[in-house]
Amino acid sequence: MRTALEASACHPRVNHHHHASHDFARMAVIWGLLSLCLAVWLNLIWLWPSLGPEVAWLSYGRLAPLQHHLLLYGLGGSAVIAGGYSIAMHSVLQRESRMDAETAIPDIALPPFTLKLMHFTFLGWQAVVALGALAIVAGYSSCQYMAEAPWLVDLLMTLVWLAVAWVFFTVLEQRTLRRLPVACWYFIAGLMLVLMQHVLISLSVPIGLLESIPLFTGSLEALIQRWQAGPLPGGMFAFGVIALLHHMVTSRSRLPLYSHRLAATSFWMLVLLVTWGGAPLLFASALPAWSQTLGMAMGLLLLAPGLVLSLNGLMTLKEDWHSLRRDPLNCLLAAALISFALAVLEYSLLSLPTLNALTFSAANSLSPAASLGVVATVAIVMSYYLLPPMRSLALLKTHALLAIIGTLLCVAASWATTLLQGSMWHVLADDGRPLYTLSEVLEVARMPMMISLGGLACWALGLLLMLLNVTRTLADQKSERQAAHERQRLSSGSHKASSEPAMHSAPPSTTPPATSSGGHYA
Amino acid sequence: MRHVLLERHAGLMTALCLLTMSLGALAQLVPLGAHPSLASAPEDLKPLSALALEGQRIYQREGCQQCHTRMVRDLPGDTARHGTATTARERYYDRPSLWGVERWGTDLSKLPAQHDDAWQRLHLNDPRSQVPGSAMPAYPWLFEQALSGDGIAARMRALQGLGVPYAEDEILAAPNDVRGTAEITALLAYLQQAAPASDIASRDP
Repeated sequence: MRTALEASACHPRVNHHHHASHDFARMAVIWGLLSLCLAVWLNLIWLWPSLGPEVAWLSYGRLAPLQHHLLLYGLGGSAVIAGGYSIAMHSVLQRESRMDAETAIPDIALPPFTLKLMHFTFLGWQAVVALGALAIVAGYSSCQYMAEAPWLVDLLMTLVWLAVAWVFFTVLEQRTLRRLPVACWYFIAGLMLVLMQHVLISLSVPIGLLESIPLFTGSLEALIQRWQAGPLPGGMFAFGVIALLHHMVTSRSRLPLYSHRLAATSFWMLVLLVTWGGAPLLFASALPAWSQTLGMAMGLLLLAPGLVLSLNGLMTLKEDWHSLRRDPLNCLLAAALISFALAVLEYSLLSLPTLNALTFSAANSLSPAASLGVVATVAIVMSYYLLPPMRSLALLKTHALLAIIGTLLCVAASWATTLLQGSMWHVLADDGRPLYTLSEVLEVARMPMMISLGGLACWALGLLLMLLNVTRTLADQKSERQAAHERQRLSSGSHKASSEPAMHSAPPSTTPPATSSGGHYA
Repeated sequence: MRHVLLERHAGLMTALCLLTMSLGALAQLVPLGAHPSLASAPEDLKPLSALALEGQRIYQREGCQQCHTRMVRDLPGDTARHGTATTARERYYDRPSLWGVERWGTDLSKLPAQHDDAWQRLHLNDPRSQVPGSAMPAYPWLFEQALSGDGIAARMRALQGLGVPYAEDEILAAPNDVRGTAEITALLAYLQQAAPASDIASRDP
């Protein structure tokens, strides 16, 4: 087993992994921005339907799954894959070399095949997101909740995940830490969950290139579909996102986890319970009663590991509580941990039949505490972590603020809609007829939808600022690198020519990037 | 506590994760698949006709399940509005199951008896002409486009392979049966076929 230092000494060139991770992070931001803009647009045409053009591929039913797809697979998926690489590569570092721990993606030597696979995962995953998006807009959605891509794209996705697993385990082979960090456990569990859920839901008989018929039928298919919407949306990403949370809480803040024992306990409980999810989303449906009851019991149990995980993370951050004031990314991490607790609480409460009866009669079934609050928030923190330190700290701080306010507004709006509509839905008059008509029940959502429009607009604006900040930072970095290159060429080349013409092309001498730190804003 | 052993061996950790996760999956999915209500097709249940099958394709294409459920739940608010709760037997041939998750509109498992076919057409062409304040988008293109009948035979054959009892002559006749029909007719055929005839009769005012 070669050490990281030896390994990097052999390859003192450009850090390849930096490129791949920068690409992932940049695409994550772009997909996220697209998705949030769509969300704002969908909210607008719900409030004022006459705004919507009467064009088939721009109608609500096609754009709504597209929005999910871009958020979960584009933003969440890209960040989870790049984050997985970061987790594995960190385990290669020696524990003592604290300096290196600052970089999200350290420079370590990888076999050429693994490097190629890494590039394949980037291109493959972007193809999955883009092709899936095109297919959904063209009307070839597979109509499986939160897994709408057609079978051919599902197949490509499977290949990409296999490649991700290969890269992850290859890097892990080189690790210098004997014991796997907690983030690693979660990523391994995440890979296994993807393997199970994605393959099960994608099993189908193809008819033509884009359409297929699912292998399973009726209640069984319904239950498999609801898995995807487990305790965290896009159930297959749930563990990946938790892995990223642990990775950043410990390695970015360089704090030891508050309690290893709690981490181990909550990990195994979550692993045990995650595949029981789904049944709470099918309460009082045609699913057999025993299956509903079992699912609900497990849903209630989920509360324990969920809260423990969240508390463990928050207690870890508490060691350096003041950093929350200086460092917007730590602040976002804390927000994500709290959102995680909220999402789990919500999911567990759904296991109570009386509350569940209110919820699923209404427009919003699950609040965006999980999708925006956890998946999207963790994905943007991961992207910031992977990229070089941002040029503008003010923009970063504004983004963090907008994201937190946006999440709060959306969650509040969703809960208001659910409780108002759910309580109206079941009120019966003395003669047994419903007291409120459907239009009256739907009309109630108008005010909360205005609030959620504000929340989504905050999110979209925040991501726009992020894209701006990232583009400018990367452009700066590029020109700095060019300048450094130019200087090197001039000093090593013949000295006969004066440096005058070269100085024109290079920007006024800037200091080369001091560190490749992964983003410490403290 | 020997957790250290797991933490040192990625392979062991992977295997144990997979094992623990499959517990939940196996305990739920296997008995459900083998459940009497799912083990064999209900005899009185007819699979979707060729036209209704095309209708289902349009339902999926337009993403109707994003806002509408097709599952009347066994709860007071649901049964008071939509009649008896949906059973697993009724949904035996659902591929994929379009039960829905959110309700931004009415449940579509049984089209409301008070509106006839003509009303449904007017409503789909311009929802706000029939229900002022409705947030539903208009679907004028369903009236302009006609079915080509191209993929229907392949679709029925794939379903036949999965155990749906389609007769051979039914499949052969399908492309000609549906060719030239307006998409709206197919969609309404799907939504109406979903309701068992006996149930519609009992709910007539």
